[in-house]
Formats: sequence, C-alpha cells, structure tokens
Amino acid sequence: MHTFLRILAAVFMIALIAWGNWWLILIAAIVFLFLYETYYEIILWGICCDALYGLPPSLSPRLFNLFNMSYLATLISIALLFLGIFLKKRLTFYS
Amino acid sequence: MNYQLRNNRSNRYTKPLQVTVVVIVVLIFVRLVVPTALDSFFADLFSPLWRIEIIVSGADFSASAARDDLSALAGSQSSIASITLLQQENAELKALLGRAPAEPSGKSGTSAIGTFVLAAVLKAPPLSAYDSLVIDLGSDENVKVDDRVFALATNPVIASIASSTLATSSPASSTSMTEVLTPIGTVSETSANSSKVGLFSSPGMKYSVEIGPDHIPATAIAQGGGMFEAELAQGAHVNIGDTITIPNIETLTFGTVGAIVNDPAEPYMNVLFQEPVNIYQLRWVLVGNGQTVGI
Repeated sequence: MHTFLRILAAVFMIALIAWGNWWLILIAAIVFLFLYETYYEIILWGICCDALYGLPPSLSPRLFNLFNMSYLATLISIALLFLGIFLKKRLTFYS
Repeated sequence: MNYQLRNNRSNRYTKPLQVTVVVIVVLIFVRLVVPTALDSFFADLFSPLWRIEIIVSGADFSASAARDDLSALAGSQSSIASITLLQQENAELKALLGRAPAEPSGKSGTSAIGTFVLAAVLKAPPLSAYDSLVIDLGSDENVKVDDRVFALATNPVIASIASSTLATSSPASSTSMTEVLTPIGTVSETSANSSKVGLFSSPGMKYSVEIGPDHIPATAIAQGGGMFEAELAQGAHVNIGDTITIPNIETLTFGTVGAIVNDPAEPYMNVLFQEPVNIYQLRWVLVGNGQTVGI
C-alpha cells in the first residue's frame, strides 16, 4: 500500500510537471517531502524540470549554470531534501 | 539507561548524501558524454502529455488547419497595399545598396523576412519558472538550434498610421494591418517532436537596441517576463510609447517604452520597456527556419 501510494505521488508529480505551474510543483514536492521519510524523488523532479525548461548559459546568464545547462531546480531540490531531513529531526510531530 | 550514539545524528544524512553524490556524478557524466541526452529523454517522455493537453483543449485540430493555411496567412499579410508598396520600395533600396532581401521559399509559409513554420506553444511562462517556451515542432520538422522564433504582435507605429490614415476602412482590415512579426526568442534545444525556446527576456541577457524616432542607441538588459531596461543619458529625447527597434537591415520591432524612471540627481535615466507581445498569453509562434536576422 505504501509503495502504491508513493507511485501515485510520482504520477501526480509528473502530471504537475507537465501541466502545472512551477509553484504548484514546488508546493507538492514540499508536501511529499514531509509525508515520506526521505523523499529522494525530489531530486529527480528537479533534474526533470531543468532538462525540460532550463536554458543554456548563453540564454540565462543570471542562473546557476554548469556544463552548458542550468541547474537551478536541481540545486533547489537537493537543498530541500536536506532541509527536510534537518527539520524532521527537530519537529516533535516526527518523534 | 540508553544513550543515543553521537554518530546516529550524522547517519540520517549519510544515505541521502550518498544518493546525491551518485546522482551528481551520473548527471555530470551524462552531460559530458551526451550533452543533450537528458533533455531529449525528458522531452520525448513529456511530449505525449503536452499533446494530450492540446487535444483536450481542441487546439490540435486548429494547429493542423492553421499550418495548412499558413501560406494564406502570410499572403493576406503581405496583400495590404501600403505595406506591399513599402516592402517593394525597401527591396529596391536594399538591392541598390547590395543587400538583397531573403528569397521566400519552402512549403510552410513565407514572409518578407524569409521562411517560417507555425508552431503551437506547449508550455510557456508562468507555468515554467524559466523564461522559456516549449513548442510542438522539433528536428522532424526541420527546426534547428539557433532558429529565430517570432510572434504576431501589434506594431504601435503602424497602428497609429492605420488609425489616422485608414479611418474609412473596416476595423478588421486595419487590425490585420497592424500585426507584425516580432522576434521573441531563439530555439535552444530540439528533440524529435518538440523544441525548447529561450526567450530574449531571460534575465541578464543584453541586446543593442535603438530607442524612439531619433534612433538613440542603447543596451537593453532583460529583466524576465518580457520586460527590459535600458540606461540613457539625462536629457535623451524619449517618450512613453516610443518604439524600440533592433539596429539591423531588417527593421524589427522589439518593444515599446512603458515607463521612464528619471531621477535628476542621477546622470542616467532608466527606460523600461516590454515586448509588444504578451509572452504569458502566447499560443502560437512562428519559427524562422535558418533565420539569423534581428538580434
């Protein structure tokens, strides 16, 4: 059941990435981050957003770029993953 | 009494850290070996989903119909007498100066500035956080990286001429006359069935432009969301509504002055302008095959 719900969450995230606003994707990712113990998928969603919508440095000079690609969403997702782990340790809800 | 081991705290981070490092290493490896592999993979994966949206909204039928009628659209644009005359005059002058206009060719549609293909916008800001579009044409439709992307927009200069000189004509004809092609971006990546377009308004991008009727040269800095900013010396003759053009043999409208921030204590004044097309409402764009004119 747990695995099935996690797959459903992944399908929901894919649908949001395809059709939703970027801030909806962010909110849903944060919700799942706190619902699941360690939500590794968030990194995949970040990579996915960068690959789909990110621009090369020649067209996005103000964003973080590496190897001719923007990694803004990937970096945010990694930061959120570790922030989630850090906060869960300190929230009484999880103890 | 049980004591929590000190390294239990760090153990919580060990596995996520390992996963992150592996992901980053794989990402770098893939980027170095096949730079566009990830982009193509995700674009091919998401293309069917975007197409579902088009089918559901009923725009798919419109897209195929519109592509069939693109030649007629281009023809109707150029059929307006005054513009045709100006184009002829322009072509003659360019021929005299040794700058022949682009030869119209191709089956998709032509304009005075070359060949273009109509594309449906699958995803545009603010749905995507970047200043980028995803369009439904890819390498299968001969769309290439660095192709210029245009949108139909209302030209304020032609609109003012049309309103003053064509008061007797029908509203429909004056509306079509005021629409001009405006460059909005460049194709940055292509996959088989979709392409990514980087918009000119992507934050930090710089362009050489000419402002107003005096053609004051300036550097426009993109602010995102179709907005630009340019610095001009105090006293420069600029008014709200002035047209911003790209200094090129092909005169292309880049935007109109929306606001002037003028602090007398500063040696410069800021001119804020926006593209004549609203990038948030784009549904169709024209991809100029092999277009290099403009910026």
